[in-house]
Amino acid sequence: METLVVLIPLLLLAGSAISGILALAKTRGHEVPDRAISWIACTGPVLAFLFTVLIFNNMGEGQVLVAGYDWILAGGAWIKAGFAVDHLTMVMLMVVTGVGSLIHVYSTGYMKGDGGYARYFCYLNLFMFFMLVLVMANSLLLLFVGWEGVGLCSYLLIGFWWADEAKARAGMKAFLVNRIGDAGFLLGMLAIYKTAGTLNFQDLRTFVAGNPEAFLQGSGFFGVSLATASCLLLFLGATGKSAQIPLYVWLPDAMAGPTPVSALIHAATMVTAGVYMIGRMNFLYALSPTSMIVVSLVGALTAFFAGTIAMTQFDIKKVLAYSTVSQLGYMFIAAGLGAVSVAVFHLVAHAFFKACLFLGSGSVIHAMDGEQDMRKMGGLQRKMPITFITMAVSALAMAGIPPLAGFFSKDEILWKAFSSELGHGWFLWLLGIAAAFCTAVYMGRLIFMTFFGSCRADEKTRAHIHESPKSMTGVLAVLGVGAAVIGFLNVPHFLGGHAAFSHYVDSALMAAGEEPLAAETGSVAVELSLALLSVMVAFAGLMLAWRWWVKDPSLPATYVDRYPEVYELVHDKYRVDEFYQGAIVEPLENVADGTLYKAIDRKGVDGAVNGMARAFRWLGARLASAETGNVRTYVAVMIAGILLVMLSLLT
Amino acid sequence: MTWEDTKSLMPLLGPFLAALAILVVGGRKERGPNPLLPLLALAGFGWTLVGVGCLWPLEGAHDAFAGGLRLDGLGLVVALLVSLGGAACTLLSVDYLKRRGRNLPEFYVLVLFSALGMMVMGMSTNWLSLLLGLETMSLALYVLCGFLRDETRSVESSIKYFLTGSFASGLFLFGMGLLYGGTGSFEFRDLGGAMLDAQSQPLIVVGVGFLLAGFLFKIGAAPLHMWLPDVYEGAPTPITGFMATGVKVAAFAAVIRVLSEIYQHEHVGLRDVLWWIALITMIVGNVAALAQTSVKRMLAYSSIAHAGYLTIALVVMRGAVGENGAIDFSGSLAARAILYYLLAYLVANMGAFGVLSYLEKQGGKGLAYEDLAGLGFKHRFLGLVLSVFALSLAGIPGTAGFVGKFLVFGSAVDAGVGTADSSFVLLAVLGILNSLVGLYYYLRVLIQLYAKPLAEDASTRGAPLVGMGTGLVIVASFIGTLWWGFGADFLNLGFGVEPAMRMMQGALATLR
Repeated sequence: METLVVLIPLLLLAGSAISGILALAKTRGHEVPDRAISWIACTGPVLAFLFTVLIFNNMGEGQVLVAGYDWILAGGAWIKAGFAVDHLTMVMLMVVTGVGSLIHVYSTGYMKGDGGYARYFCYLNLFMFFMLVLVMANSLLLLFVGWEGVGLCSYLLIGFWWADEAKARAGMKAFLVNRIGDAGFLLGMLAIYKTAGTLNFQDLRTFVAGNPEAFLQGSGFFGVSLATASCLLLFLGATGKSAQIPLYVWLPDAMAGPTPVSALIHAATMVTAGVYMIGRMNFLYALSPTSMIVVSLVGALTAFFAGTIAMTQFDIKKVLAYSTVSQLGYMFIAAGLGAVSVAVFHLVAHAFFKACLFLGSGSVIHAMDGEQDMRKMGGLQRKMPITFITMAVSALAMAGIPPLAGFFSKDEILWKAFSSELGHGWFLWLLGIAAAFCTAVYMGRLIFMTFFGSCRADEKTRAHIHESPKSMTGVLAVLGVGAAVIGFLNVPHFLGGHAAFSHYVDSALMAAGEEPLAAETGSVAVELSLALLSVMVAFAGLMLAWRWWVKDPSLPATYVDRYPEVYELVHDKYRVDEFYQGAIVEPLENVADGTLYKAIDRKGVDGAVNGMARAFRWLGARLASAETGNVRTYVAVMIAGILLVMLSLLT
Repeated sequence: MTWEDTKSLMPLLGPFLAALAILVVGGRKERGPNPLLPLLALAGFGWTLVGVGCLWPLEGAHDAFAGGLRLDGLGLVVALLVSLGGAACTLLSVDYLKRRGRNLPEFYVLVLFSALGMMVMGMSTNWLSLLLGLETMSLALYVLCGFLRDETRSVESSIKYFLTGSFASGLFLFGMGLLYGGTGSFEFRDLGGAMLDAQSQPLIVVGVGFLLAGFLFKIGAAPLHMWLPDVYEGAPTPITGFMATGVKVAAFAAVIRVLSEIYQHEHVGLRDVLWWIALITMIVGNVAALAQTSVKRMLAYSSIAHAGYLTIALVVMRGAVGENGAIDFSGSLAARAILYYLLAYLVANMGAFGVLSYLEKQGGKGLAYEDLAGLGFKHRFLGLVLSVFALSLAGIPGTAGFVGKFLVFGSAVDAGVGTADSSFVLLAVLGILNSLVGLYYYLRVLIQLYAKPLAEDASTRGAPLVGMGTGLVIVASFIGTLWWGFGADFLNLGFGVEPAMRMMQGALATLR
């Protein structure tokens, strides 16, 4: 079993290496059939999935599989690099290898004929390798390695069509924004290490359970406790990777990459890493109510704002991108309430319906000859029946129509928010239900604009429209069925289910006899009526979308005309990008352009030193005969520096 | 001179004998240089490597020359790192000098002598042997910088280095003189006791100040860094790589020795001064590197930034109070972090300069960012390894550079958290922010390699294959960068993160 655990990521690494070599051979002029590359690239993920299932079947209740070796000696203790697989990791493994395999198969159809076919699969396999490292890591440090690795691959895959400047830039933006978060992550990690002397999850949990007071002491920054400081720093990392306020801006731009990449990395797996990390560190977050409040509030606000933005976008992938940001917000609401299993359940459900939607949109874009603007689509339902049905099912699932997956997962989150004992629960619930309304509207809008009405494409494109090949539609069908039925894994008690999924995950996160963190108050009757309410909200949203975009397509325009400022603001994504550009990027670029460099390194130092330099000119005059004036300046600066050192040493 | 002396000098003998041998069999003018000369030089470095391997692990320490040199763990690690760097430099130079038509025996002699000087610096325990090592190293490097004597920039580099370097040597001498006046001894270890009443003795404080300035010059820390970019840019590329790594190794080892004495009696002012120097050095190096258009010059500025990160570890270096009341630095996290960082920097930097030395064209051209455009697709392997080196220098996890940075910043946090003084933690935070800035210019390399279309330049088409020496260095650095970042010692070869960690730990065990 331990061997299998190690084999899972190694399979992907090997797949990546072989694809890389084939890509290399291809550029050298050797003939490599695409079929061979497809087989090699898909073998790794599929085998990894089979191994995962094998481990799942043979894993005992509460068992944790561990395999590792000594990595870094920090302080007196070794940090072990190794894998630990428990129930939470098991769920993530299922998602990563399962959805990952499907997307690999889909890609063989989608990327057919692309010049960089082998290179694409090399990156995609490498991405899965790092993602597996991330979810299987037994310590925060190794998790961080995976965390950085997936970021790197994401950057490579976004800029996949490398000749395109805009795409390369989007990749760069993603990477830089993420580094801001990573700085927080690194600092949080150092703080935790300093306090507990370990980064191993198992040891950390034992430590926290044994001496929570170590984390409750003041951190020396703004009077917050060490637990709060480190949790918030880690959360900053999560906002970067999982695209939450304030670092969400990179995700919509990241849609520049190939669509299967958007589905795998920017919907199903990588962006959920932040949720997984908070789930993993849940025992530490439990020590800091402040950080829990921040996490859930940021999640709720992101869910709502991203939801409103999604309603105004016309690029089909941008709509899905903002909807991903919004759905991730839901997961953070649950994670911030301590209901990790609920957050992870939404993660799993979301992986299915969002991957399906993305792949479906890829199928549409494929058929539309690269067109992504929904205003130029319409009436596709007869020409692309499978794409239409699977996407519609996923959209309904996401909108929260029972009994599809999204209903169970989202309703559970809203219920947790409503019933939580924390004072701000009602506010979270309010934002959540508002976001649910937005979800229904933009999902309805997407489906209606794309598949209903009359086709708005030009003649040439219209002739080109066709259903996608089997490798693509087959995957869509599997994902669509998943989106429909996966909710039954976790039917809540009030509907007569057993919440099996929650029990499975919770058993990994809690010691025996411990109760889930989010204590529930409220009765079955309230729970039932809230569920009814959210279903009604979802239907209302869909009805509105139907009215606006199918029945009377001129209606949206009248509303836009009536409130132009509001619409413009939302359509421009609240102008956050512009704000960042002006406040952060441009000043940085000025620095890079050398303004600051010149000021500090040449002019400023020169200027400041000139006075002193005059005093030492006699020395400079001797040097001047040997070389250019520059050396004179150098020595003058040296002397000034030495004087400063001396002065500060002597005073 | 006793048998013990000879034994402790074993690692030093390699470069020395090899240099002599090359001078003897150097070849005649009419026949050109003997093609076996680089092999002799490599044999010299190999001797040192074998010597280090035989002596490790060291029981206690051996003193030689009446205590002037001390062969201990730290000395061995310096010998190891320097000879790795020297061997890499030699291998790169074979191809490089041939292409430049300057393949002369003296080159290898000078490389060997400068390496010898670095090793002496790393082993010295009194001011005289330190000065001896420093001057041996520096004089050889002055000549090496100007070795491409037909190129203005190389000559300029040499003269600039010589002028400013002489000034720094003067600082050293002056500081040593003052310290001798203040303590009546040339030994490092007498400085510790003298620091006790240092406040009352301006002589000692000023002496320490001058010495510090000399060291700061050698490692390229602000405000004594201004010579560095010009010198690094003009020098032959393999030499630049060797200077950036070898000199840092030797100087930091010597600084660790000296500081472990000075810190015996806490002189707060010194830590404050180093704190500011670390900060300014990082900022100056990173900000200036942002603005560069040449990759070689960017690496020169980034070398300043790395000196800044390493200085953080000097600021926070802490010891435990030993049995006799003296402070023992053998367990210092920060000192260990410095050594690991130097190892990581050595492999990544030699690799990066190796790639550059291959790409460089006549007259030092071909090293602008634009010249790398699309190269990742033309030279796939070179693109890949250069990316890995850049990522390691930037400190991305999975590479040796990350482990080094983690240890340095970690040691600062470790020294700071839990104390009332938050300045150490603040310095770590500032360091991390700086490394974020640094990421920008390292990633520009990757962008050029992979995100820009290949410049249709006929001259890259007929580019020669990478020479064997260069190829060897690049591959070895590539493996080292990844293996010392993440590799486990599965086969018990003594290679990987864990053995290196244990080595750095052992290196400090016999520090004092």
